[in-house]
Amino acid sequence: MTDNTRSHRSLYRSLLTGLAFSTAIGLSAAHADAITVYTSYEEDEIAAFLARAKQDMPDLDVNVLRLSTGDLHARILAEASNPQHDVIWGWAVTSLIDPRIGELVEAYTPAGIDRVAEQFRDKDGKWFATTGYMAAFCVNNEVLAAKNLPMPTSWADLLKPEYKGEVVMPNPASSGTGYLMIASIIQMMGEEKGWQYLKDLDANIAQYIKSGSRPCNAASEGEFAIGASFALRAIKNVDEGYPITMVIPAEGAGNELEANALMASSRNKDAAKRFLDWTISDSAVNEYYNWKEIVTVKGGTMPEKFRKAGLPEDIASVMWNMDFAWSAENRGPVLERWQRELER
Amino acid sequence: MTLALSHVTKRFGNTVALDDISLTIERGEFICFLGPSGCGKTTLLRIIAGLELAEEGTVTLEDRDLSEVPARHRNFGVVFQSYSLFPNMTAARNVGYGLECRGRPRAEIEARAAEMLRIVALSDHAHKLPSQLSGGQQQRVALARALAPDPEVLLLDEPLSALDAKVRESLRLEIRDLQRRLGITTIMVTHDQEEALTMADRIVVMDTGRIAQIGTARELYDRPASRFVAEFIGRMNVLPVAGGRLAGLPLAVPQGATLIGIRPEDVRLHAGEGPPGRAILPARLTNTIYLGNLAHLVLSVEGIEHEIVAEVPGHACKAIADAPQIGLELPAETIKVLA
Amino acid sequence: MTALTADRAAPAVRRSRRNRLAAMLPAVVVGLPLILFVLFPLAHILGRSFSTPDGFGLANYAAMLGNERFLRITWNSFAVTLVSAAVAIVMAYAFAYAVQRSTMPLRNLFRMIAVLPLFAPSLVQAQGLVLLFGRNGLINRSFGLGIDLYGYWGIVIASVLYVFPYAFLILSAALAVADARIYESAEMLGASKWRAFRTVTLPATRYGLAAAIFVCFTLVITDFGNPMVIGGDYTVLASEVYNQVIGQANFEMGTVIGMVLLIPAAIAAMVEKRVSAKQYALISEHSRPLVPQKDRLRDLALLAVAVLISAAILSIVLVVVFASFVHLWPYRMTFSLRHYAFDVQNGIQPLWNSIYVSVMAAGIGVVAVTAAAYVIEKFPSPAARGLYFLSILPAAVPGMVLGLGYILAFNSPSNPVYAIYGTLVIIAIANVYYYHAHGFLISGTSIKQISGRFDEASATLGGSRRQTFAKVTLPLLFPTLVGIAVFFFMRSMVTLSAVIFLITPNTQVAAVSVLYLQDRGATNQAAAFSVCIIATIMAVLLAVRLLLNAMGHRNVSLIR
Repeated sequence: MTDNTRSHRSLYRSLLTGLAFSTAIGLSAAHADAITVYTSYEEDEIAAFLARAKQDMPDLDVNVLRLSTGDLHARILAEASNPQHDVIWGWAVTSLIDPRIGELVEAYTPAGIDRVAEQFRDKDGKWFATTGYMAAFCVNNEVLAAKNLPMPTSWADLLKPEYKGEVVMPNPASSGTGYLMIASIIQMMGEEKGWQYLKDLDANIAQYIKSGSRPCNAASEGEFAIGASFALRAIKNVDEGYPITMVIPAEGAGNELEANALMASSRNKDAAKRFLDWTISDSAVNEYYNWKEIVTVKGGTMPEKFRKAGLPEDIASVMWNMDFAWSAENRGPVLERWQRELER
Repeated sequence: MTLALSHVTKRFGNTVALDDISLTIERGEFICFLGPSGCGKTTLLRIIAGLELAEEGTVTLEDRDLSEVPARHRNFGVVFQSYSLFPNMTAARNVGYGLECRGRPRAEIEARAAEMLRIVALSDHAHKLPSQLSGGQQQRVALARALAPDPEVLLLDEPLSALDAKVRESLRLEIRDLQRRLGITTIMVTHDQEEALTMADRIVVMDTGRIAQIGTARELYDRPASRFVAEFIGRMNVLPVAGGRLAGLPLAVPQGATLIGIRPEDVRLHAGEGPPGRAILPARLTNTIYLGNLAHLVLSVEGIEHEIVAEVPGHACKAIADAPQIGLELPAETIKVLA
Repeated sequence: MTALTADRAAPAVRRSRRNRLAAMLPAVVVGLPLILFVLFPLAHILGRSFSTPDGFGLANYAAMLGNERFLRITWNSFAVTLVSAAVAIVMAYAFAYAVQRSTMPLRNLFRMIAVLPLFAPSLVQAQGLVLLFGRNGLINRSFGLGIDLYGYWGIVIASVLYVFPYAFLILSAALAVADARIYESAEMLGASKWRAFRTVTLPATRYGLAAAIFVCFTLVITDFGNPMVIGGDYTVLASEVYNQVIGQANFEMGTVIGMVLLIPAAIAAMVEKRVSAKQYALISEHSRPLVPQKDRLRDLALLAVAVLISAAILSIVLVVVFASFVHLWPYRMTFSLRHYAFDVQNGIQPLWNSIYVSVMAAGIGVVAVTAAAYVIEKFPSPAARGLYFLSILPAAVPGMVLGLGYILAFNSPSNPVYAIYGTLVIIAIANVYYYHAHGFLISGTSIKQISGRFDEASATLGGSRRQTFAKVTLPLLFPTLVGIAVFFFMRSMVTLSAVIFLITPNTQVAAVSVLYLQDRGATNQAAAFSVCIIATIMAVLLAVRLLLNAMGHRNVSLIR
């Protein structure tokens, strides 16, 4: 008889202790040398960079929240009264230029900043860019063949009626890639023609996707023929073995710089500064070269797979010369108009 | 132990469940609360047990006021209609539960449980769970459990009503026997008059929250104080009278009586007109209910609205039924004045 | 005499007043966390929805109502919800009928298949559908059909499959009880089978039906995982809340849409509550359970239905499992474990977080709902009635709305709860209170069954409240408590909605990882994460079942 009861009793006890114990652990989550970093780097990039950071600074715990560029913008503004993070890392310069963000960050000159050319950093020292990315199309060869479609080479090509329902691109309101695309289009074609182009393109767009990398992934899996995305995603997917071709639009690829900054509100500035110093260290830069098509610090070499996917050695030759100040300044009104006229 | 209730009153919303009940129960007595459902007998038992609070009045045991003492400190044993054995405990642990709650040493608890189970003849079933016992066995465990802590009073709430007729009958005797042996003051609630008549020393007949009559089985049967008691215990022909007369026939009752009763077995029937000089009414047989050794004859008498039932031996039935004329006699000594 | 009566009455009256105050106390104590974690966040949502740059006003609502896109999204939401709920109900009814009222073979297997989706993250349906019916999914690739599922129909199909198991559980319970005598009399009166179904079965299950309809309605209208994955550009209210809050940090608009979601959900919950309260009166003590008779034609038809639906459910789950094990979907379909390496930030950590959160939610949840149910049963008072209302209120609150309320209410250092904000504890708490109503009702039913009888028996034997609880109530409740713990564990493992706004970099949970991975197109890794969740839940269920069996508690229903 009592066996049954006894086992009941011990079970309750272990249940209760378990509960108390688990609550205690949950409460002590934060500890000494840890910083929180907000970034828009891709998941796999983050994993690689952080692995390197851990090697170089084993005593520093880096907690990362990854959100797409637009989402992160919104999040940082929303938390402005009580920021949760210490460092902004690898985030679109266009967004960082926003004066409301400028109020939240503190000027900091990391050790060895001279390695970064002046054009890639803020004159007031509030941010410095280490990497960047540029637009590219991922075109699925199988789908093209199956539907007997020609290979597009430019933005202009995407207007061809045979591509109707076969093109996906990022939603510029949430994706930095999406915004650099429409910003570059408006910059290169001019206000009026640029918007007309976007409206014409809309007829062929199957979906505006919230993330900048998913259009390429969707095209890679053959869900759509053409995914407007960014070069690195295309390179990685070619390397993975997906039957796709990377196409850099002939008009010139819109691009974006990814910059780092220190939050004025950081409660752990020493650790945050250590991390920022690390972001331009040799170790970090070498890792950047493995992942990024644009690295602002000279030194590393372009990996073989970049070349194989069709990225030219001199990428400056295919890049549109972006006016970042314009992009930053007009971000609000452009997105508002886009959402008004084109968002579904 | 004298258990006394005085002026106990209980309301549920607007309905009065118990209306000014006063009652004294002597030590070692077996009392039954008898009445139809809704008469308040169970509520009264629950107030005695401390499971319910009376709005007014007191419950005292040997001059100790229990009104504010919660059930668990009263030390009254209670057996419920639905057994209410703890399904997670064996029979033995159920029986020992009261002592366990009192923090008695383990050895004492086990010894007492074994002793009580022996008393109710369930020693072999000590380690079974309630679900493994029959209804009768469960109720015996419940009885042992209630008695184990040596309670001052034993309270039984319709303890037999969920059982088969056979089991019920044997358990009746067992409970009564046990009660006598232990000499424990016992109150049992029941709606079964036969149960009350066979078991109780005294019966408290209750009607809509009041005590209708208290007495031994014999007193209640022979001298019911009201129509309610008369009709509830046994069968009774209830007849209205006016000015001492029934259907013109003068009866030996007080002038002011308005209602009399007579038991069916007291009604005397005569084939033919019956012996002269006695108060006899001519009657007509309307129905015969033959029960073997007995028969119930239903008769109607001119001037009496109600039919009268008479009980006669089975063998006498035919003679009366065949008689061209029936005389119905109400012997004076058997007539009970009800109002 | 009157004076004497009054005298006697006085202490009794005093006694009961003191008791009344004492009886309020437990309800207040148990109710406080509910006020803090349900009412307070909801008040914040309400307040924020009226807050505008110029103070309080209806400007946010006016802006929404005047916005053509918002009206379209609202219409979209209802178009999806009504159609999916209707289809899901019909399917679930047929399936439950087949399982409960037919003699078709393998009924237990079908029952298990029906609840299988409950083990998977709530967007697994969309995940599986894309793999199967995407423009380059298995079906289109194999048969060249050119099916395009993105958009309305994709959401509807995913939603139907999403809510199917919930509807099945409710309807199966409703169909499980039946009084054979009624069917016999119907037959004796010459009613045809169809007529008996229409005039006996349907009416007898009408409360279960109503409950199922409202549960489906609420689940679909507040689900955003599936629409985000398979909706393409077809936006619904729930995904719009997500966009407004996460994407654009537009809390005001987020709260307004939240309120718009809250209203139909609240109405549905209230109607359901009212209707389902009547369910149990239908079966009397004398009922004789109905034993289904063999009927070849009917059984064959029902078997066909069950097989079809099971195939749909299984194919969704299996294709996700399959995709997690192939090298490069859909091109190199060779076996590979590489997606289980989880070489993304945090690696497999979100799964551990999920397990941790779910265990915590199970622990806290069991205590919270049982305390509430116990207090309501044992300490009746006006405060207890308030506690009851608070306990079932969360049934009407969409998870995202609750989560949003948590951000608004607790993300401020001046708030005492802030200490746990940003930890896994707040996520566990969000899950506890999001699922509070359901757990509470299970626990309440059980306590009601146990309590009255055994409490009085224990009291008369000298047991104190504490002794009674420890020696009688708790052991008897134990199987139910385990069931409730499993319920909280399962739901916390798979839910997105209540936690989506509460996760931080180091408190990401597995279901959210699936969403994020899927959202950026890492299909295989998302699938692998889903498989890990499914496997975890199945392992836990199996372990609990074995443990219960070892303790002698069979027939405990673990899937609620």
